[in-house]
Amino acid sequence: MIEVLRAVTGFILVLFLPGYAFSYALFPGKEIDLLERIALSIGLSISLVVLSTLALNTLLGVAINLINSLLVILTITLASALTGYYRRKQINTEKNKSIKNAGTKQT
Amino acid sequence: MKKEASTVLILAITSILLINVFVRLEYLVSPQDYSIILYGLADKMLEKKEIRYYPYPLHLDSWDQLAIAKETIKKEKIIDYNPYLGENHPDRNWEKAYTLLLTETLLLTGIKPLYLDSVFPAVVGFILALNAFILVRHLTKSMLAGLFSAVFALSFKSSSTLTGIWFSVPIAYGIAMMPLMLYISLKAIEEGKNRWMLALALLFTQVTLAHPPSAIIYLPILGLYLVTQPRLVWEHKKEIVAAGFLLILLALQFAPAEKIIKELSFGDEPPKGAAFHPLSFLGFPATLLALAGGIWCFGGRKKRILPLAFLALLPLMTQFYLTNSIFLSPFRRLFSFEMMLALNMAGIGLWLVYRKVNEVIGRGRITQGVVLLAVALLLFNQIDSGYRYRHLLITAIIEDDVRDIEYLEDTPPNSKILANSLDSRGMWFIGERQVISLMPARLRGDNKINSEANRFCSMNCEDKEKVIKEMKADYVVCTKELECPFLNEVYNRGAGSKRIYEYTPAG
Repeated sequence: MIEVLRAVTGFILVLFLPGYAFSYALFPGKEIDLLERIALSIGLSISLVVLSTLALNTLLGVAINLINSLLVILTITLASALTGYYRRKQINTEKNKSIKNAGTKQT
Repeated sequence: MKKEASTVLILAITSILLINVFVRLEYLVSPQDYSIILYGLADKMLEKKEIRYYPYPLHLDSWDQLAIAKETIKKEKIIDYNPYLGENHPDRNWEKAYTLLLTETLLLTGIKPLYLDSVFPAVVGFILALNAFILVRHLTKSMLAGLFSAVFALSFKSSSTLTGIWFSVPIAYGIAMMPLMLYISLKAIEEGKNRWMLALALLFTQVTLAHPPSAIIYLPILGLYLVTQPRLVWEHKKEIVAAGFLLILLALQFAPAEKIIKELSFGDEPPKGAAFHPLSFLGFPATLLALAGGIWCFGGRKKRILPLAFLALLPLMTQFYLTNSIFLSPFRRLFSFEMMLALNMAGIGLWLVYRKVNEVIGRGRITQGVVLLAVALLLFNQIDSGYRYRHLLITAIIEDDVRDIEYLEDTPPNSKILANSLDSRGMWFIGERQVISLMPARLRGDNKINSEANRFCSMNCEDKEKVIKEMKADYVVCTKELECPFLNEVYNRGAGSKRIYEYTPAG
């Protein structure tokens, strides 16, 4: 059972999570629906994880092992999630401003 | 939300059934189509017999990709040699990004390399189905068309010589990413926003490093699409000039022109034991549906990308049929891309027919049922025909072999094993010992050594010792009894077993 759980978690970490967070950094609003986001997340996840590992190993000689891979995945995910959060906040602030402005103009 | 979740679930279950269960349960009854598997399964259940599932890689290329990934984990770095034969056998890996995808998956999931092939193709199949769904839904604005296209895409006919979505090979990954690449390209062209460009650049770089032929095909495809949209070309003239400049810089690496043409030309043979003409590959109904879908797609600016992509690659296919040589991508790869595009269009064609029939006969319950049944039968037949060449797949090892080969783990770590060139992959994976011969696939051994290794068990003792000394083998694996004074039998399970002999030179 633990093996199955690890396998499922592993697949999510490599194939989904970093890309999902990155998709929010790219598209923080409702430009794409959930299914489009999932498809995009998978493509972006694979690209980000693989290209980062390739670059880190080739250019900096970082070893390819479980701990380093986890660190890479978590760094990408956290950085993307923070960017996404910041961009979403920005959009909301701009939205609120424009609503306020519209309200002021009407009054 | 409910709709999205059920779509993902349908696609996941269909992928697992079509790519894992039906492919790997073949060894239960040796059938040639999955309707027989279902019959065989019921039969076995009634007789309460053991249901067997084949968990090992089903293609020698899959073995090799997993071997490179396994060795990458062992050495903790990207390797550039043939892992089976050792570090003094260089091998240039043009598919590093795919190998790294397997490596990361192995590391994070904890699945043993030997068993990843029983899971990974279904995952890639799910990605393919989801991507096909997203692209076709975007083009048609219909969920049903997307679902039809996804099922058609999963019916892609894989075989040992025309590798496809049943195996852990880079072409399967390239095919799976094709609809997503087209979708992101369309979004980037339509909206012209940098974020779509960034997503496209990331994906394109990854696909290029994972499977170069899967990336290079977008040059003619997007080229033709842009040519038919002069307004778009004018709007994006800066980006196009920049991309052209980059391409010229890349091409200059291979300059002069003859060298470029030579580097990008491939001689190939028609794949044996596989359908490799569009009509035989797709079947008559799917061909007609693809034609209908393609013609309909020409009616819209965005939709046009599917038939245009097909047409962009068609001259290259024709070049192969006429001259047996092909430009840009090896024939088998190009054929796979063409057929995947056609299958996506066939999904649209089926949706068009379904819509038209519904319009004509109305929406009564019985008539709806009949239409749905007809559609289901058509899809069933399409999927069923995909298993036509499955019985030709090579199984390098079976369960009993694994038990025998495990003995090798008890031998000294630096031992070299002499076995026939087909068995050697299993020896390396399970016994974790260096091997000497290797049947050619993605990785290859020396032809002369392979031939001697394959004849070894039938040689006389004098020749055997000569070969052992020449190849510096420490252990020999044969299925028959060897009676030579310098070969000491160290493992024999009994009837049907592989026998393992240690080389003990006289004196």
